[in-house]
Amino acid sequence: METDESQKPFTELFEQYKGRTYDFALRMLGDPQAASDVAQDAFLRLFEHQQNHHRIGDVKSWLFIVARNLCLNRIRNRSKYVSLDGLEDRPTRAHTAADPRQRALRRALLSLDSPYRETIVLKAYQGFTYQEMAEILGKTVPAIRSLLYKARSMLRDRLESE
Amino acid sequence: MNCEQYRELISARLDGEIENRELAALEAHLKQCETCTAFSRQLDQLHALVVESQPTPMPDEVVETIMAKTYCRPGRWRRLVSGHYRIPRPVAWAVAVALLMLAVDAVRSPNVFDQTGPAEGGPVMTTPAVQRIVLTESDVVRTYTTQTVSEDL
Repeated sequence: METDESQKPFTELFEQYKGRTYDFALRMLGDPQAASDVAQDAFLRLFEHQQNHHRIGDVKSWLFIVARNLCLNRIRNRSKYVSLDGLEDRPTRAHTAADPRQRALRRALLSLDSPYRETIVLKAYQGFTYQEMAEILGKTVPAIRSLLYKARSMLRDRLESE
Repeated sequence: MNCEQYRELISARLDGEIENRELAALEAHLKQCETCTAFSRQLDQLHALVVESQPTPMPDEVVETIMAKTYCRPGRWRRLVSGHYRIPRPVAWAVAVALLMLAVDAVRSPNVFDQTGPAEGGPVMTTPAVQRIVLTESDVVRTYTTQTVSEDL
């Protein structure tokens, strides 16, 4: 019988996914405050869904779809929130501790267009499979494979030009 | 297959998302193509750099805000039953069913408060039709009094 993970207590799901959801939003947006807002919004939506007894199924994928959409909305409306140039100057505790190579990597990642950035973040940082990424991003597995190749090539080029 | 397609396989190999026949073809190609071999080495270095990066935990103040917003909402009693506060749903259902059974039992047994029968020396109901009537305490007292008085006369 298929198990519905959304039947788990909210506190348990929150503990399980809070770190990954926030880290995803932070790498997508590069702004701790915006990442906090996105993570908070995503978990409050999960809570509301549970309250209304809506079936979710795979909570991890559901959360990342919600967080990704929230991030894309923010990226689209970025000019209303913050200058793109100022993003890399907004440090977090982890970011300030990073070595120069990591800072360069973060800058290069943020310079990628969001379709490439999100594939790198979902695969390399969050460890999703191609199949899971296809579900989250609404694409086919071959498309994910191709996107990742292009994203890595671009990331390598940006790092070399640093 | 051209070099561009082989490089896509190099990327897929990093993720372990490559089929055996593709892997065999890629390894054969890498033995004879220096450009793709260099690309493979660069992607390995990039992957190592990415893997080194530590995830950033959610700040405590954000955790507290989310917990506060999900704990203090109206409708806490619903969450109590639906398991958000760690009361198992089966236990909640068992309690609800037990209460329902008690209520049904009370409705179907009208003399549930009158199971001890008449007190010693009290009035005895002899007619079956009368025995089905539910008497209040004041009725019993009045009947007893009337009977006693008539016996005295």
